[in-house]
Amino acid sequence: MLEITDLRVEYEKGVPTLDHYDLTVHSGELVSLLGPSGCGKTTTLRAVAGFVVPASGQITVAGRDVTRIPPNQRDIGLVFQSYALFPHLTVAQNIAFGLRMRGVRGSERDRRVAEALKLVDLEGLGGRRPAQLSGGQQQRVALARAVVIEPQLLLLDEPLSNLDAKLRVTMRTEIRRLQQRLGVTTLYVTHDQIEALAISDRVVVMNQGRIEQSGSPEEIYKQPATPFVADFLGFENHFAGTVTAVQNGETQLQAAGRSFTAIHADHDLNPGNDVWVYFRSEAAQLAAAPAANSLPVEVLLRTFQGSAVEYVVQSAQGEFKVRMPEDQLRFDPGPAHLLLNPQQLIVMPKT
Amino acid sequence: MKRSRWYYVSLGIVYFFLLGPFLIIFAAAFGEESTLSFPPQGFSLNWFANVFATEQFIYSFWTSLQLGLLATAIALILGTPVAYALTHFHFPGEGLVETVFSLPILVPGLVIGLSMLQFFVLFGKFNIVSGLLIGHIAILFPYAVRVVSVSLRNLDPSVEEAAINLGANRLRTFFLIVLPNIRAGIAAAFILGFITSFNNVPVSVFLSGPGIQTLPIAMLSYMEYYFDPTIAALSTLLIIFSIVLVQAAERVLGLSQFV
Amino acid sequence: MRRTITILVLPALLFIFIFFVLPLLFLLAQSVQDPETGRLTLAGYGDFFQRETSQIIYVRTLRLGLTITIIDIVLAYPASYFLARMPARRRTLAMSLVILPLMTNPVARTYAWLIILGRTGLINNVLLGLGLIDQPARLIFTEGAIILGLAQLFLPLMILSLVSAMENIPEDIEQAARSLGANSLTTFLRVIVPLSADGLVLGATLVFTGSITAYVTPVILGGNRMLMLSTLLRQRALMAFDEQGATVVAVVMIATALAVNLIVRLFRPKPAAQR
Repeated sequence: MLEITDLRVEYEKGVPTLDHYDLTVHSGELVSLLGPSGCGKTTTLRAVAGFVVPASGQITVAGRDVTRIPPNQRDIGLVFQSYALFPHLTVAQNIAFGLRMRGVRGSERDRRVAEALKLVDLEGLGGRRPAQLSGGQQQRVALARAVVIEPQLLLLDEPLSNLDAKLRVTMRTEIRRLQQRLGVTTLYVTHDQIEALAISDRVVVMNQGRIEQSGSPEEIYKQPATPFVADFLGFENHFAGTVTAVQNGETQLQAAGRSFTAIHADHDLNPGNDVWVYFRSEAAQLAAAPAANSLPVEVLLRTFQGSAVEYVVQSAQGEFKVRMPEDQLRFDPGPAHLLLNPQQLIVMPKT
Repeated sequence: MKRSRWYYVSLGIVYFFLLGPFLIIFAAAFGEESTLSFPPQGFSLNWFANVFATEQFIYSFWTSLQLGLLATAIALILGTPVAYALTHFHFPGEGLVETVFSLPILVPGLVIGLSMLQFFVLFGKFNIVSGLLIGHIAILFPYAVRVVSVSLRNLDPSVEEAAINLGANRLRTFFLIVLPNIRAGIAAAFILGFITSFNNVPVSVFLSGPGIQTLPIAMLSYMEYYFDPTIAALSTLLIIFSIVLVQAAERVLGLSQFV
Repeated sequence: MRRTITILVLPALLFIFIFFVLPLLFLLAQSVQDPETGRLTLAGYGDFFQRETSQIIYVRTLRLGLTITIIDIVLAYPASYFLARMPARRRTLAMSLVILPLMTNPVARTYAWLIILGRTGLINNVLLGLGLIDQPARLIFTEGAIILGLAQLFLPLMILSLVSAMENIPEDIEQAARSLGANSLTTFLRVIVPLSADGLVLGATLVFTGSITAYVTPVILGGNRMLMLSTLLRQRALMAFDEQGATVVAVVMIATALAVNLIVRLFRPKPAAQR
């Protein structure tokens, strides 16, 4: 549906913001571009919308090459971070604008505007000005305005970043439901990993103008492919190790004189490889006695966090964070052992 | 904030100095005597009647009014596209263009007037009216470009992009989206430009000629021959005109942010 | 894109080039041209800088400009501070009163000083009434009259520049200074003044260049007896019909104003509150 091939974008001559960039979004799919600010995710979106002219490469939408087509002839819906509602027009006039530009008139236009208002639950507010609406309502108008033209592709640029935390959760569900109901192919830009995981069919993690990893939310969350993705997705802990053996899908590791087993390892690893081992704070447990896959630690700090308790522990491999259910055995500062779950140890080669 | 003695003293002096002279004009305008003295003796409205009886003032008032409206309109029609270009594009010579359009503020009005007079004389063919009009348009450019640029910069660029994304070309976007949203800025520029033209002396003094005078020039030449309070009466009317205009503009547009 | 920009900018650029830049260049050319022979000569400038009357007038113009600037700084500084700290609503009204003189017909504005300073004006009548003088003093056509008129005229520009610089100084900073033991005067001198220096420089530049190029006030309050550059220019152009002499004065005036702007641009402090 959307096909980006070998795209290169330069804001400054010779300095690429995006380079050798490839991305495919299938029909009806919601793909989010996730990454920190400056990673090129918004640039990608603006290139697709036509507001950024690429230095080279190709963008096709539904088989039509739009690379050189001006932005006002692309038939792509776009929801801006600031909503960008027209302040001097009413809600209904805002939504009607795209139809007006397409020569849709009279009762046909009124009908489609009314439908769009209904779609976003704003019936009866068509006569208001944007300034008279709440942030969430403005967001819905922006959505309605973008989808009323029945675009082949819908682009959303950090659409929830101006809303408060509670509204963000509600709106994100609504956007997803709307997208599924309309079946519209959607590219969604965000820096919020939870948002990306919750809303997407597929998440594309970007860093410095490159794609780090592309996969289902579960894959991205559970099996980050690179240290960057692991860091960005909130893997709190990692340590360095060396591969000693690879067999039956298990990887044997050596770190600071101790051996560990990890089940997951997508990469081609060979004995002798230097690797990073990542694990989440929930993937480890404190215990009073040593066991397989354990290492001795010193408990430094215990903080109560409601349903869970977080510990900061010191080991030969460095400081780790450990998160355990609140009802488990309590550890006070002092020596203990850290048990690592082999299913949740992520091994990736050092580069 | 606690109002200290300093608050009253400093603001008192400033307002006394700025506005006190105006009160004196008001008082002098109602005096009976035909020489200018203060405090005035008696009370009369003769001098106001005299303002309206003096053809020179009536005629030059209309000249100034038409000149101000026309010059401002033309300066805005020519200047708004420049402001749009400066705020929307980066292009070689951008800084130069910006400087060129701010020059009429940097160059003293008297020098502008003199240079234009000599230029028009040299190349003939210009009648007085068009010379005056051209001179006024030139000095209004900086206001037109600057004030319109300020309001263009205040408009969220993604609003324009939204219109383009929805299928409007640049021209339609400008008229349907940009223009309605910078109305206040355009109006402020218009008022500011009009006042500047209406009050201008240094450029007009060279470009006025027999039969065509702006109001301030007419006032200056009247003062060379007469010392009666007619000018005080006319000044009173003009000050009230300014107060009304400035207050209305300030209330509606926040004029002071553009000055 | 390039075509669009050209369409947008070119008409206005042509206008300003033909009717503004070109005349100025002609004026410049005329100032260095012998009126009879048309040869290149600096005689006009030599005459201007060697003749005592024009020397006096030039120095007077600069001196008055400086005096007026200092008076306006002193008057504007404390008042601007209080204006900048006013609640928005009241400040809007207060500022519109401040800019009123700027928006008023210049002849009307200056005329008041004739009533105040004239032979039978306010000050003479008061002084005579008190028996301090026996006959009316000549107060118009003096340097003092010009200073009063121009200081009033340009005070709003000074206040506008200072207020917009002071608005950007967060009130927290003052409270911090106070909490560290500074009294309100020290706070003003050590915190407000340095942080509003850019507004001061801008305002001073506007007032100074405005004063040395102002026209109406020197005409009415200085006349032909107390000439400044602008009135000298008028005299040469419109009364003596000495075109070259007038262009020389014009070039001196424009050069002085531009030089001041240039010097300030080179040495001006950065806007402190946004640093």
